[in-house]
Parts: sequence; C-alpha cells; structure tokens
Amino acid sequence: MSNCKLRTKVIKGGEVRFISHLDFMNTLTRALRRAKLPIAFSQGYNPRPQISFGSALAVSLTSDSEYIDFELKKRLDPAEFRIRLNQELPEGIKIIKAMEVPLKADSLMSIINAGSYIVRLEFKEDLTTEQLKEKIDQFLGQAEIKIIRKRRNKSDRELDLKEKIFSIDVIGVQGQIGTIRMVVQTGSAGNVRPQEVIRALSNQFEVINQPKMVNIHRSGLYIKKRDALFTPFEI
Amino acid sequence: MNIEDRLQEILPQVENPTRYMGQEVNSIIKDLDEVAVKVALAFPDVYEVGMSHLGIKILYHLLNQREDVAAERIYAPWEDMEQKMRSGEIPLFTLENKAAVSDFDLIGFTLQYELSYTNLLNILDLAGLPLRSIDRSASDPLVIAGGPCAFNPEPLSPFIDLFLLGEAEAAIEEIVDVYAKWKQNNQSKEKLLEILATIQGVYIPQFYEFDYDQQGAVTNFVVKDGISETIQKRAVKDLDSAFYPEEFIVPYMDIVHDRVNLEIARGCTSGCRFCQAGMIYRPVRERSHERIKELAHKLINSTGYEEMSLTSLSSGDYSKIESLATDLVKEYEEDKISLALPSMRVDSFSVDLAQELQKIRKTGLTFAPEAGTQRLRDVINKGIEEADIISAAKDAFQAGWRRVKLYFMIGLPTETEEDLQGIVDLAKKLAKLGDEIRLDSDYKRRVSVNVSVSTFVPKPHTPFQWSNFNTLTEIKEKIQYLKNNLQGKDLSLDWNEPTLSLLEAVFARGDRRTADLLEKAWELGARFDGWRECFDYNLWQKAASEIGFNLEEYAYRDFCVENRLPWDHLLVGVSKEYLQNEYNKALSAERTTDCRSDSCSNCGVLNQLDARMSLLGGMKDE
Repeated sequence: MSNCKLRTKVIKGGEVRFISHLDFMNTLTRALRRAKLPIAFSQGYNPRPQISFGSALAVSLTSDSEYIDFELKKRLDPAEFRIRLNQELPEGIKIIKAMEVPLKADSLMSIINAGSYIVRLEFKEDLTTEQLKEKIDQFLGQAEIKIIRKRRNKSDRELDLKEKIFSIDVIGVQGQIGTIRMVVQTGSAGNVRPQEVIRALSNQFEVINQPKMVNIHRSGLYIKKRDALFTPFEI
Repeated sequence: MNIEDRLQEILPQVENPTRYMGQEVNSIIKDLDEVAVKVALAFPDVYEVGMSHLGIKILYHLLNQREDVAAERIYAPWEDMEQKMRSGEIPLFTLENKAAVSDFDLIGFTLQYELSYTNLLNILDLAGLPLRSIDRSASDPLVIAGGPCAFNPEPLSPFIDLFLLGEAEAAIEEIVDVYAKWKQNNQSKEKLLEILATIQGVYIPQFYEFDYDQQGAVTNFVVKDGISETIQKRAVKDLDSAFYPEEFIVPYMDIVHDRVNLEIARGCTSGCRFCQAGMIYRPVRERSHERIKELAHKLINSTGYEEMSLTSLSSGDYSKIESLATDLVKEYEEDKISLALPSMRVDSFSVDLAQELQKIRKTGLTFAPEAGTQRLRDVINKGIEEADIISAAKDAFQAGWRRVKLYFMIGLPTETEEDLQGIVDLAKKLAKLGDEIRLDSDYKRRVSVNVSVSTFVPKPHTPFQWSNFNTLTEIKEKIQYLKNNLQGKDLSLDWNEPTLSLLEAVFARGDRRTADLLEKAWELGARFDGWRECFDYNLWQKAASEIGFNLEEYAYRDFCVENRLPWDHLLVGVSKEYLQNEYNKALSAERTTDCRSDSCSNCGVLNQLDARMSLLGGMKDE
C-alpha cells in the first residue's frame, strides 16, 4: 500500500541516451532496490513497483526534465529520497528535485500536455540569425503543416502539425549550425515528435538538413493552460 | 576522432545500441595506462547472450580484483553494427574504455557452442588481427580460448594460441603472471608459449602435429620436444573457497538471464551417456548453504535484481535443496524477489518445490525424458521411469499448471520407430491426463503439451563419442513421423533445423581439417550460425565445395573404438576405458547407477584429478 507520493524531476544525460523507456524504468527500479528505498508495489499476480512517468522519451534524446512519480510504502523526506537514490543511479541519470504531492494527485501522464525541446540544426550553407528567423516565421505562418508519420506495423498517416506547434524560437546561429527551442503538444490528446517538426522544416527549406536524433534535447514538460505553461511542481 | 565520438554518430542507426554502450552499473573502468596486463574477455555471440554467461562474470571480477590487471568485455557485433564498423573503419572495441582490442595483451574467448566459431573469427578480424596464430607477432594480443568446446578445440587450432582446459578461474592468474613477466623481459612469442605450456591445463596446438585417415582416426601424432603428450584439465578443489563475484554488471537492456545467477554446485553424476557437461565437469562439488546465502545477500544488494536463480547441472540433486530454497524464499519474500530453480529432475518432489517457488505465477513446467521408451532411456542412462513422469505431470496439472514442455532427442543410438512412437504415446497420454484433470476441476483453460525435439549430436569425451550421427534424410523422416503422428488437441511440436545439427556434428568431433572450412565459410559471410534467422546452409555448402570438403560424408563418419581420437590427448578426468565400458553397456541397454547414492562407477575422475567429490549438504564441512 502506498503512503506517500513523491514527484521528481530527473536528468537523462548523454551517457544513457540510447537506453529505451523500458530499460530506463528497470534501471530506476534496480537503483531503488539497491538504495533500499521503500517503494510500493502493485497488488496482484505480478507485483510491479509503483513508478509512473510523465511522458516516454524517445531513444537517442537527452533530457533535463523528465518527471517521475514514486509511490512509497512509508513517508520519507523528499531530500533524503533524492540523495539516497542518486547514490545508486548510474552516470547520466540524476534526480534534481523531489517534492511530496498528495497521494490522490492527478497522474503526470494525464496532466502533461506540452513539451519543449532544444534542437541543434545543421545547414547546408552558412545562415544568419535573421535568415533563420525569417524561415521559421514563414514556416509557422502557413495554413497547415503536413507531415507523414510512419507507424510500426501500421500504415503511414498524414498529420497536420499546425495547431500542435505552440512556438519556435531561434536561440542563435553560427555558420552552418543553429539552435532553436520549440514548444509542442505532448501527451495522449496529441503528441508531436520534435524530429517531425524538423523534418517538415527541412522538407520546406533545402538548406536545413534532415533531423539527427542525437541533436535533440528535451528541456521541459508542462501543463499548458491557455497560453501559460506550468511545471508539474506548480499544479 | 576517437572511437567514443564516432559511436555517438553510429549508435542511433543500429538496432539495440545499448549492446555497444557499456557504462552499466558495476562495470569496472580502469586507466589502461596504469595496468601491467590488459585482458579482453570475449563471448563470441551477441551482448544479451554473452552477458548472461557466468564464466565470464567470474573471470571479469576475479581479474579486476588485481591492481595490475584490467579486464574488459567484448561481444560479437550484430550484423548491422558490423557493417557500420567496417564502413566507418571502427576497429572492435572493449565496452569499458572503448579501446581497440588490438591494443590488449590477452584476448580470452569462451567456447560454449560450436556454432559460434565463425563469430570468433569475425571478432579477430574486426579487431584488425590476422586470423591465424602463426601470422600474429609478439606485439599482437595472445589469443586464448576455454570453455566446454575447448575439450575438442581442433577445428580452431590454427587460430588460437592457447587453449585452457577446465575451469579457468583455477589457472587464469598463472597465465597472467607468466605473461606479465615475459612482457618485461622482451622475449619471443615462441618462448612465451613454451613457458605457458608448462602450466597444467594449457594446450598449445602448434606444438602438436596430426595426420588422420578418412574415418577421422589419428594416424600420426607428433609432439614437440619437451612438451607434454597429454594435457590434464584444471578444476577448483572446493567451491566455498573458490572465487565468486559479489557484484554482477547490471545491464540496461533485457538480457537472456537477467537475474542473479547463483551457482550452487558444479558437476553432475547422473551419467547420461549423451551429455558432455555430465562428463567434463566432474567431480561434483557443492557450495555450502551458508556460503550461498551469504552470496545471495551480497549479490541482491549490489545489483538490485528482483529475481535470483540457483544454478547447477541438476539442481534437484543438490543436498537438502528444499531447505535451501525454502529459506531463501522466506528471506526475500517481503522484498518481492523471486527465486527460480532451473534444471530440476522430473519427480513429484520437484513439483512440490516448484509450487513453493511459483506461488504467485505458474509459468510452465519442463520435463526432459529425452527418449520415448524405457529401453532407449536405459540406453542413454537417463534415470527416469514413465511412471515418474506421469505422476509428476499429474501433480502439476492438479496444482494448476497448464503448460508442460517435454524435451526429447531424435537420432539417439539404437533408435527405432518404436521409440518415436513412444514420444507420441507419452505426449498423448499426458495431454489426455491433463484434459481429464481439467474437466474434473475449476480450471477453465485447456492444458498444452509441447514436445520439443532436438537432434542428437555425438560429443567428444562422452560414451557416445563413437556413435553415428543420423543422415539428414533419416532426421527429416523422423521429424515427419512426429509431425504426422503428434496431432491432436492440446499438442504441439517444435524441432531443430536438421542442417544446423549437421554442422554442429561436423565441428563437435571435427579435427584440424575443418579449420579451412570454417575460415572459408566466414569469408563467404557466415555469422551467428546458431541463430535460425542468420544460419545459411547454402553458404556452408558453397564453402565446403570450394575447398573440396564433403559436409555430409564428414558428419556421418564411423568412429571406431580401437582408434586414437583427435581429442585423446586432452584429459577431462573420466577415463577412456570408462567411456568405452559405458558405450558397451549402452548398446545392451544396461543402466549405470548414480555414484552419488550408489557405488562408484569408476569413471576415473578421482584418480586423475586433485579435486574430490564434495557434498557439503548445507554444512561447512562434513
């Protein structure tokens, strides 16, 4: 039985960027066991540790904003939980914040609906910040932004990203490399993959290369209410 | 760019990049400039298979205990990764430091099955090393191989510098010490091999020359001056004092045995006549309950695993296994750590025990009668009676198990159609029994009886080392017979690819003439031959025809008991007289009892080896 729910913010760094969501989950479970933290288990035939994620991170991406809820059998100081778990986590995974939330708090999965990504773009020739900004404005100004999503074991599907891209900002450009930050829709109501946005950009502008997964970093997960973004700690 | 940086670009493009990533919890990364001897431990198969192997875990942690040694891991890159490595000119690297394997001092391969040999050649090639021992210089790594297939290593003899027979943890440090001293003195490779040859268990194939006749008999056997004519395997004397790791590397990806693997005993005295493990790992040595519990505690704490498996060749034979299992279940119940006991014999006792272990989930129960009739079970000396199997299955179905798997072999010596029909009859009997129990109970789900047949492959150092391997036509007919007759509700059948078994048969009793075949097949692209999706028999046929080798003729050779066999100079402990006597008894369907509970069967182990049978039975000393 759970007696306490801790909400945490976790870094998944370059060292572990290639591990899958399931591997990430198992890694946390085993670290919890090594740290002897009182994780609660589900009832039933196949007891599972009560760990729930906000949103699965695609393989090859890094993130400094994964949100994970842990349910514990007994109450524990969130700082103690964070320190003890960090001691057992492999390099590249780190809890940076932990906070107690009510046991009945809505699941992360049900509330998170936006994600921000920092992406390194590669160009075929030198661009200036202004030129990139112009292209992005042109891109966002279209009536629709269509892409084809490939789905495993299913037929391809055409999607319109227009309403699902909330913003794209240019952070800087240096020669053939640029950095942008995008905020897009995430979660069960509609999920945008950042690489799809880059693919659409690249399809429209020759000069922008097709996306590389290792150039994408998740910088935030949010609850978007009208135009305001809140973190899962602010709910 | 160093290897690590190039990997960042390549890994997103390959399947399961974690296979090549390293960085796992409990892996040991040392400064390679600070150690005297660098050892690359190689399992010639893919990461998730190799990472499950206990022998490498033992050697990895044993060697890394030493300050002067760094031991790092290598596995066979999957085909997609191999392609990327070749096109990107990335040499084979170790998982720990991502260092080129060619910069290491020793490469130690474990040889677990014959169908991994092409991967071994591929590993050497990807490391940028010449395949053949004579083409490698003193500055190249010394290539060592051990494991069960090293007891007939002749097919690999041109490629490997040194084979180590028996339990490597008993001898590896001696090899490292000799190597370290030699490296300081700047001597020739020849000199190094000569010194190493004086270590018990070390076999240096280039010091031995052979001629064979068409039937595989050795017609000429010449040993270099000063080198011993026979090589005796190494064995640890007692398991309690032998090294066992207290940490296991915890992989990120799901591996084949993703749990704490706790070895409770080594060796087996059941005496099944087809079984190589039962012969080569003698004598039986048990680890004490006390030591097992201590290791369980340490390993669970250091890994965070949620499952533990007590392993040995025959766990049911371990003294007081039920008290050990019950104690461990009790101790770890609250932490939701489950306990598994594979390799159990079929009897009602094992069903009771399985029930204790699988309180929560009843997966499947596996029985291995191996042969379909009592006569043939007597021939192979598998001490199971049909009545035992039926009563155990009855208990299992009544206790709620729905799935029963039965292992059989086809192509065993003296097999007739009656024996195949025996497989069919037994499977049908069990399916009928299961259905009757179901109808008489609250269980709604139907039972399933799965028959899994593999083709018997004669192995060196077993009583059946002189037996014939069935022809492909015979094997296919037998499988067809089972397919035709094993039909009905609740029954299913799996079988092994016959050509795969044929290739295994070629190498299991292969002599040095098979080395060229192996190299040619590798050249033509053979990799991961043990994997059904990779195995390509056509390619092997092509390789054989290019070098004038006949695969089928070679696999079907008659071996004669009077002749010298290609592996007779390698001593595993059991004597050739014992094997021959067992072979004769087999042909007259005469059983030999287990020396654990009955009289000594004179296998010769106690005469040849310094190690003794030790049945600690939970006591520190008895």
